[in-house]
Amino acid sequence: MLVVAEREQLPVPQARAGEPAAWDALFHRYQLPLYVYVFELVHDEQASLDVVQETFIAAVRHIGSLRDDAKFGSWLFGIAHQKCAQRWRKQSREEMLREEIAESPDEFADGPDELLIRREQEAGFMKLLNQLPLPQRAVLLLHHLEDFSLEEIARITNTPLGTVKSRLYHAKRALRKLILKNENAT
Amino acid sequence: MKTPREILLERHQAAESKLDAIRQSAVAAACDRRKANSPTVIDRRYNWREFLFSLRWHFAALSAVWLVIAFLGLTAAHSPSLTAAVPAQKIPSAQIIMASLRENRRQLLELIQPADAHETGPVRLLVPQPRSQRRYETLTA
Repeated sequence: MLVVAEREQLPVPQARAGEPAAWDALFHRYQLPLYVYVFELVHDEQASLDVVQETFIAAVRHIGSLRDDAKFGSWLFGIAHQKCAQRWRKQSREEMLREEIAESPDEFADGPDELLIRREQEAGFMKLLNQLPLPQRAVLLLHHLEDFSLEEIARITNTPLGTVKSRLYHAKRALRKLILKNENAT
Repeated sequence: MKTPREILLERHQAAESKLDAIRQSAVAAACDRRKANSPTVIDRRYNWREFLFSLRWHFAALSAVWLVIAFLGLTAAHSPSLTAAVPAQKIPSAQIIMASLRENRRQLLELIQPADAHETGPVRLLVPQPRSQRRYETLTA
């Protein structure tokens, strides 16, 4: 498993001071996860690249609004999520409004991801990911890509914490079902 | 065995080159922004110009006011009403002026000289008199 350096030392203060090298390091750190997140939501390569670019430029412009330097990652993903939401609003609202009807789970393990997927399950994982409703997919991606906390995911997606818990719970359960199904089949 | 993160990142590894280009353009934008935020001498000069330009209507209004004031001043200086402010009839003649002057001098002498001096006879004043006055006196004597 790749280590997601949650508490890694990012050169955010230097970027705030306008140092190009700091911005380069920050963007290099987040460019691929950000692209993956956006792509898995919009399923359009060019649109995803556009959103990433817009996100980077917005980050440069609004770095002053970032209060906690340690939250740079979630702040950046939040910008990208807003950009995606703007595109959804332009295109269609149907998928946006397709919310899962589920209650918040009683117990929820918000720990590091223990999910491991076999090579033969990878295609199934991607297929299932794409079958998930958009809000669940967004939450699952944020959880797996950057291991964001539930609070951070709630901030990024601008949804209540309980809703995030519910979405992640159902998405994870669906994934486990798939894995178990494949394991039993083999 | 792979984590979902690894699967997702590997799946989109091909986009890395395009993302590098995007990153470079974003960093260039950051550089431009940094330059824009540090004002140079040219910028400051431009700011002064811009500042003065923004006040152009104020300057125009002030200029107009000063022009009006100057015009009014000129017209007032050449106005005949001021020169004719004192009517000609009220200017006393030279004889009257001289008479009043003499009267004034007499009163002054009375004040300056003691009372017994009047009895000894008139004392000539040592105060130099204007030439016109002297001529007038010789004529009247």
